[in-house]
Amino acid sequence: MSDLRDFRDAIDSIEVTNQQKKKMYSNIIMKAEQKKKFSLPTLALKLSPVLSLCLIVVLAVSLGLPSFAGRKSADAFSPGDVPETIPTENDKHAYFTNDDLSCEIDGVVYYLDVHEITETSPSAHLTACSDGSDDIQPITCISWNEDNKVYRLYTFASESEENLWKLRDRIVEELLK
Amino acid sequence: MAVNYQIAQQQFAMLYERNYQLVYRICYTYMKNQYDAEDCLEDVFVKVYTGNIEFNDEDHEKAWLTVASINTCKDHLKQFWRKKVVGDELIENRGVSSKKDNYLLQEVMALPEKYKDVIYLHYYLGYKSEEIAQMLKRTASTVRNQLAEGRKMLKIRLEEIENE
Repeated sequence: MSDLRDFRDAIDSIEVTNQQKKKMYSNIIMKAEQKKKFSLPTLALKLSPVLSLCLIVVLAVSLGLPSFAGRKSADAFSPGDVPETIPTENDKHAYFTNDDLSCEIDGVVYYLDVHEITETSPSAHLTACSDGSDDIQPITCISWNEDNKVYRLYTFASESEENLWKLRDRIVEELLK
Repeated sequence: MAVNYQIAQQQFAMLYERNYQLVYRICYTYMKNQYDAEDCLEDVFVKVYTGNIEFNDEDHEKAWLTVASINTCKDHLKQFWRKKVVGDELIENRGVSSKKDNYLLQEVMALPEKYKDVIYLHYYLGYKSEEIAQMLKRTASTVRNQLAEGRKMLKIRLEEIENE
């Protein structure tokens, strides 16, 4: 297409004046020097004392926070939370009585512990428990928050957490009806 | 350290001298006005200056600057606060001599980007399809199709203008 060869002439006719050329060049140098001045490594060096101070403050606050924790939010508990006190074979701080919420399903006994969340009792503290016998099985426990309460479901049987979650609704319904 | 800086500055000045027209013409073709073209040119050369780029030879240098200019212009065009600029009066101001050249440039500048790129690189800068494909990261057959499509669109448009 012959017209497109004329295209070259059309583009060549776009001229840059000397004044434009010099102006652009000095702008380039100025922009480049500014870019170097405000580059990330340079900024990091200049700000490092300030950044270090901020980091110390953030660390101090985050380390200090848990001890001042008040009421835990609804999302504070996640599946498979480990109880705060894990009973051992010798641990007999508390015992289940007949009034405790428990049920038996397929030969396995499940216990449900329910605590109100209040300002003074931020979390449901799992009291050590045993079934009173000498033969204490490992505890499997799950906990969750609902309706301003903390629920802990556990069993002395060698149950997997996954299974406990699967059985949860059924057990809770059984125990709270 | 001061001597190295001076040499680097001198080399940059020579590179700029060799290429400012090429870069400006590409930027002007895309941006359609002097001021945006100058901004884009400055951005391209700032990248060279601050990027410590080493070129193998002048061909490599020219190819790099061409692609960088096209990409810089496209980035600028994407910015949402850009006003659309009508090209007519601005092209006239650039001293494009003949009416025919004026229309041709206008129509090439009005082409969709993908056709404008390849037309520019092939007909103005003389790159082959394979070279253009490498530069723009397209396949050679795509480039050839786009050249053919771009030519067809231009032909139709220029015939319409002649018949007006």
